[in-house]
Amino acid sequence: MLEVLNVLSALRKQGWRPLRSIHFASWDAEEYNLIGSTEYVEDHMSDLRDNAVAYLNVDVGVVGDNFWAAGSPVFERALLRVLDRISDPVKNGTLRQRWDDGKSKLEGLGAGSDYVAFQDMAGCSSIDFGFGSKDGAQGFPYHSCYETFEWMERFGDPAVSVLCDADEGDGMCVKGFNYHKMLAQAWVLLILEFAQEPVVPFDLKIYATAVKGYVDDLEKYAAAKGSKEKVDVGPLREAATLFEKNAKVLHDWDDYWYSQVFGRGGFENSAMAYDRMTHNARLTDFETNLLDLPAGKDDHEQHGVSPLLSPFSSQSQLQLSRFLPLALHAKLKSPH
Amino acid sequence: MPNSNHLTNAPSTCQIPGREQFKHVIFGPQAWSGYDEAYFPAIRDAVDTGDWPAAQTQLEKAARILRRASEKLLD
Repeated sequence: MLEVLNVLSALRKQGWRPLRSIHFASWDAEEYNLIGSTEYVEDHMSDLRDNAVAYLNVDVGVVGDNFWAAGSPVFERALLRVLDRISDPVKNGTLRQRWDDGKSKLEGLGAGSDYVAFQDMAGCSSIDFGFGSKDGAQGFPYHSCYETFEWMERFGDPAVSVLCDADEGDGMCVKGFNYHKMLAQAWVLLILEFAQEPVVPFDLKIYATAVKGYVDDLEKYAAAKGSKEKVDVGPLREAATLFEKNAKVLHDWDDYWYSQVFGRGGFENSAMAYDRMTHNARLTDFETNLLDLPAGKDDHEQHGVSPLLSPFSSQSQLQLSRFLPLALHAKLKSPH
Repeated sequence: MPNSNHLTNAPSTCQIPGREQFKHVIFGPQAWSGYDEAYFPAIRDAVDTGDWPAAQTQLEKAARILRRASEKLLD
């Protein structure tokens, strides 16, 4: 991250200004239930929901030579553009070539790192990435006292003979920490995609296709658990189809903007600028709109993930009655 | 002492008391796995417990929210 800051500050010194603010954060207490990042998100909840565009997460940055990424599907197009522009001097090809050769895919987010509060609580589209080992196995001494700089230098990202940069003369030279360099490149380029592209490069068409897949998976999953004729995924499938249709209409506007603005030598009139801001707001608000939030002051229904505790299920009454003595006890003890 | 007893006995040890802080209807942590990717967590929770009416309610809620978010794309 310090290397990324160096690059951006060098750009800044040359007079570069991003269109959107870039915040850097290093989180405490990740292993203890993501406490640091969650506290931050809770403190800035409405700001993040209304204004945040994207959250980039790097946790275990380099432990191998295989680039992987997991995140909201809105990132896929921008990510592939970035990978296309980074060369891997060790394997001699672009990261995009290696991504395609390895049949890599942008995976879905689990709950294993600090993106959880951003994506699942604030609805801020998030992506997590790094270099891992080919088979996904933890080949390095993960979470142990052998996780050292020496290990990284000798085994994790070791010195190898690589093709040198042009300014160092042609031919081969020996260099270490190659994958750390590529990680910083990917990171900076992704930041630039979201901080300086006039039209935010989110792709909701890819998202819509992914959602249709999730619905299919859900149906199969439920069927395997014996849901036959008990659960109808129809409403969800219809909603996904509407999403796909509207995403296509929304993205047709991208082509219109590029042809209008680039067709005029890069000049954007104020009407186009206004339209672009509306367009960007629609793109970046989409995931915030996927949050299950109360509709207003009078909405007292339960929101968020908790079907098991619905007040109508017998299970939750059992739990409530277990909690009740504790609650009463606390009340008696309270001085008020 | 009675208080500590309540603390240790209160939540049955193999249940999590909900996770309402997670609001996203498509992405969210699963009840029993922290690392795996998970979609439609609320629906899957209900499916896992075999509570089909709850699964249908959660599914319709997710559908409603996804539909409204999709309509807002063109508003």
